[in-house]
Amino acid sequence: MLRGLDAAASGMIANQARQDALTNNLANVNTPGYKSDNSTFRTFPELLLERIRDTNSGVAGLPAFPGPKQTIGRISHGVYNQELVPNFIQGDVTETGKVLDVALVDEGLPTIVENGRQVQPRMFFAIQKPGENGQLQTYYTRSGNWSMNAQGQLTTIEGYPVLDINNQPINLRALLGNAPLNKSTLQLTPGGQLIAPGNPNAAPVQLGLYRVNNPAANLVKEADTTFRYSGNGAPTLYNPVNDISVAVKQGYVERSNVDAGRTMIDLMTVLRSYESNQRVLQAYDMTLQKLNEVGKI
Amino acid sequence: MNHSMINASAGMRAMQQRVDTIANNMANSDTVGYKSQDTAFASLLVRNLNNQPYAEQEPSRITPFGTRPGFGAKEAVFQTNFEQGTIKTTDVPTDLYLGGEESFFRVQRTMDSGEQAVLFTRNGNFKLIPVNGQQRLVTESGDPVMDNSANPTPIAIPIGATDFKVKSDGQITYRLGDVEQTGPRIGVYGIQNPNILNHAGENYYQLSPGLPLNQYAQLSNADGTAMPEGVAVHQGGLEMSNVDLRKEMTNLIEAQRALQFNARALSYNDQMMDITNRIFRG
Repeated sequence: MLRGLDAAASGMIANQARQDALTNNLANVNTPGYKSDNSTFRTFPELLLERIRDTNSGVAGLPAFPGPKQTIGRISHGVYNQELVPNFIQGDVTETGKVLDVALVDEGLPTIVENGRQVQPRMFFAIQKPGENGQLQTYYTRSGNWSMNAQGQLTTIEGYPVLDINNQPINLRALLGNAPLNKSTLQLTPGGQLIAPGNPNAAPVQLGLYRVNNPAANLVKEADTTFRYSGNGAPTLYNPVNDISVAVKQGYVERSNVDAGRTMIDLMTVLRSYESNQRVLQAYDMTLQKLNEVGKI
Repeated sequence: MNHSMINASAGMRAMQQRVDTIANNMANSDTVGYKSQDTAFASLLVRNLNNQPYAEQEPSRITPFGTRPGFGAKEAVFQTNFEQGTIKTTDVPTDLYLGGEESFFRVQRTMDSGEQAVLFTRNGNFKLIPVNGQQRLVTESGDPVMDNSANPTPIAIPIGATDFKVKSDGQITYRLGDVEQTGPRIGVYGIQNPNILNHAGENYYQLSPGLPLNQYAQLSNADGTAMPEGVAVHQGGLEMSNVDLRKEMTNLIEAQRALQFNARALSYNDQMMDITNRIFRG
């Protein structure tokens, strides 16, 4: 069989996987806090091709014995979509004027070098949601489109509680007292502290803000615009002294960081690449057809 | 159907819902007491796939092992913006509006089942209609407006009453013959967290089922108490819709373009499937 046939097919499959990632980005072009995925291709592991030398037995008149192996070279058998790397760059921050809309601005965090790679640390909000085993776990998100539920808790749009610095859900009713919920009764400092100016007896609540040094390597994308921490240890808690370049903005929402224009161009490129792989497949098919014709009487 | 087609169609559906919400806002840009709505999105389900089972064979990876493709977006929630609308002066005595964004008039409606439903509204476009030998204060839809007593009763004044006046604390006064009389007091309810209100149609809101009324809606003007700061009943004007048409137009263009992007992605996928079908030409 011709080796390139499988390579062409693998190219089509890899392009399909890339198309999946691109359409998912495009579907989330208006999702607050969404981080776009970039797909990276990798060749299949290379194989060493060798030929058994069967022409040289060395003795005249005797049948030929297999001689020593001869190396032909290396061959690769195609390509696959190795990973989807989320792009953690800051999305556009847009003003909504709503009291419980919160955006994290962390462009100023200095880059660090981890395992020889320069990485950009990012800040995240901590929320609580049921994990795979059904138990409540801490997840991280950039989506700051929040509301207050009937129990008075601060929650995400999905209804998952937002956590404070002690990993506890935040009770806004205790903070507000009898005051109604609006921008003058509930304020958020740039350091992430919720304060109720009308209720001086209530202690301010510090939002749980976490810094992940290498988000691409340590965060796993989950549903509902959340991330699960999969690295060693735990993310670093926000430090008001060191992380001065981080700001929490009330009345703003961080939008999706998907670049619709670029995604459209990528979609076109992928389509054409898919098509050329199909052409190659067809060319191999024609070759095989010719082979079939050889034996025809 | 392949994965990317599911993504594109999920995206299209979410954007379509956003366009629907915006269209509804624009249609109600002149509705008294209407509060604009917005949709918020969240990404859908993500699954974890492994290209091959051995993590050590992929040494140059950036991300944790496996690939995690997503399944598009969904609209997670409708959010209502309870910001105060602009005030239109009408000089009609029974046109009232409320100061304070978290305040509502209480309305009672007899449902088809005979049950008395408690509804809240910001629409103060009231009328006086004769019922049982009295003039009753009712909303545009004809449902009685309730007073401020512990067991609220519909507000009514005698027939023949003139010079209908409402003070800022909700107290009604009128003139019967030549004598100024004090009538009932319009009940004003404060709802700390308007997110718990559901839309009940006709500009009414209702507490989510299962939430006790006395715990979530507080009477702001019980007899003998003053209104909280910023809360007041005003006469002779109407609170118009708080829809900001410029903002809605911008959102509409944005949502429409996003819808188009997803439709285009669907069409690219269609072409890809066509290419797949053309591999074998018979």
